[in-house]
Amino acid sequence: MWSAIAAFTIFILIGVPVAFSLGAAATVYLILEGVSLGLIATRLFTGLDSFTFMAIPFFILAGELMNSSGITKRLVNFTSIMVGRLRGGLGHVSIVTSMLFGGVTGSAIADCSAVGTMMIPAMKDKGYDEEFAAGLIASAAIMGPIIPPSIPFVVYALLSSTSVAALFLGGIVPGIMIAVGLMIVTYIIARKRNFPRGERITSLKQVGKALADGFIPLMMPFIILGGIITGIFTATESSAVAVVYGLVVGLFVYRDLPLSSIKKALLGTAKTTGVVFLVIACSNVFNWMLVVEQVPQAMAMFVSGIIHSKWLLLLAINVILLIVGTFMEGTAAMIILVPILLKITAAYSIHPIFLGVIVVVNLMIGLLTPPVGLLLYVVCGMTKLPLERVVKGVLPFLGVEIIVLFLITYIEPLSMFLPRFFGYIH
Amino acid sequence: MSVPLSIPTREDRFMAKFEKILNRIEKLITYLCYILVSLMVINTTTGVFFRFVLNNALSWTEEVGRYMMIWVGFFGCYLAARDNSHVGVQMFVDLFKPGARMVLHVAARLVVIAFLVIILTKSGEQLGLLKIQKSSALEIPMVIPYSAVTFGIFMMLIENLAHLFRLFKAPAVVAQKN
Repeated sequence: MWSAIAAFTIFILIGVPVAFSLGAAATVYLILEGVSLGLIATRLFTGLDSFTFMAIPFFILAGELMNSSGITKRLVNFTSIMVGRLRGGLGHVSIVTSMLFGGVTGSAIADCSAVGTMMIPAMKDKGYDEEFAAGLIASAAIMGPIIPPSIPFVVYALLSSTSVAALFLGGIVPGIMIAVGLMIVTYIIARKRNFPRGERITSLKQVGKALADGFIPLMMPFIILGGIITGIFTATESSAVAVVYGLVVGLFVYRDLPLSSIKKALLGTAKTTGVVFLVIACSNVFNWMLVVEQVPQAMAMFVSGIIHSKWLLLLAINVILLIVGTFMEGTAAMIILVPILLKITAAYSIHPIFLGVIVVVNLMIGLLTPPVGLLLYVVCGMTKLPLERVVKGVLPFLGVEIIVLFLITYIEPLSMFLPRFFGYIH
Repeated sequence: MSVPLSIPTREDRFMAKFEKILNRIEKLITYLCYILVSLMVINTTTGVFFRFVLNNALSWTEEVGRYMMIWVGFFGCYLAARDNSHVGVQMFVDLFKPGARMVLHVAARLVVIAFLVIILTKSGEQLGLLKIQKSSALEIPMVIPYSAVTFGIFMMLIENLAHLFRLFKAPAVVAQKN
């Protein structure tokens, strides 16, 4: 097994894409152990053959459709009325827009590119420094997959056989806490650097239109969650309904969705799904190797020998995940680590839903840390800033997000209250 | 792209033709993605409609949805491989000088190619074994969903080989794109 881990490290270092690195490393293991390689081919198929995974392309598509029908612009108008007048107005607008966009998309990358393309130039125009703008947008985008819907929660649900709805509900409060935390930091920085407030909107008509326009995308998470909670549809079906809602809004309400945009959204969905699925499929093969080698059991034995308290264990899990998150892509890290973590935490009466929220928030923070910080690269691409400057911009926000992570780790009701309230946890 | 001053060789003409075919395949797969993703949405919402509104759950929507999804997934894998959007870490590679970087780049491609070749032969063998197996709900041959894996891997292999060819033909242009 060590040969496979060494191979994996080398492959990653020389720039082999993560998915192929995992698959090729597992192949090295199988060859050395003399196990039939037919297994890999079979697992590539069986690892994906699940109805739950269908929620992934659908949530991607729903977000893309909503984005191409111009909801970002409308959400910005909506949030400007709410928080635009604060010191550093555009910063606050970006944060709240990112959070609300999180209710439409399940992916941080999508959130980042939708809000960033619009808000980074806007902030630059008003004299905000670019570093700050880039850092803020990247940091706020992690709310995309924490606020429901969420692709990582779908993957976690499948790995842990838990309810997607419970996880979605568990992500709401942590997501809002991140928004509040980011707004506090923005306010402090804005006062120090004297960033402007937004203009006052005086016309009542304008306010009314902005509120009505912004209300429509806000309905999406309620439809998704409401539909699942009332039992009208399953999580996967809710994602398809979200697509239909996005289409109806774009075609008949905003009337801003030409066929070319729909085609672009369909193609984008196929590509993103391909990238995510290849990682899932190859991680599955790698994971199978770890299970055969009984790594989860060995790790659980090892941990229970040295850690005796639940709180210390949670601390250890958080620190390890933060480190793993710096050099591993989130989905792959989850597929490899979650089975191990579930085995370890079972003995300490840590609820799998609670663990899921912590794991997802933690690994999404990992999207902001180099070398594998996908959001950093997305904003680098948008702003043409070098990586170091984006990292510098991210740092203050990263700090507050880590504080939120520890708050939700040690104050259990923050994530567990809503799932419990709706009867998903007894 | 710089304009080649020399007369195109036979090899160049072959490559040009090859690229043209690849572009056509990409276009075809793009259209298939439009259709399949749309069908997936229609299929799943039909399922909800029949169960919730007509109170008459359909037995096949889930299975059909899963198989379409797997095809879309592997089509997407290929399209993403074509724009180089499978996520990897370039940070360490960028620490090296251009010459060494090129060597690492080629090595990384060769790892991918070796992996794909192995998986391709194995998934081909699996297809042979699956000949008689039928799916549980619709009783369609399992070869139909399963060949998505084989097809996706085959196309990714072709794309990676083409990338290496392009790299040797015009290293500067390709290196810049990465």
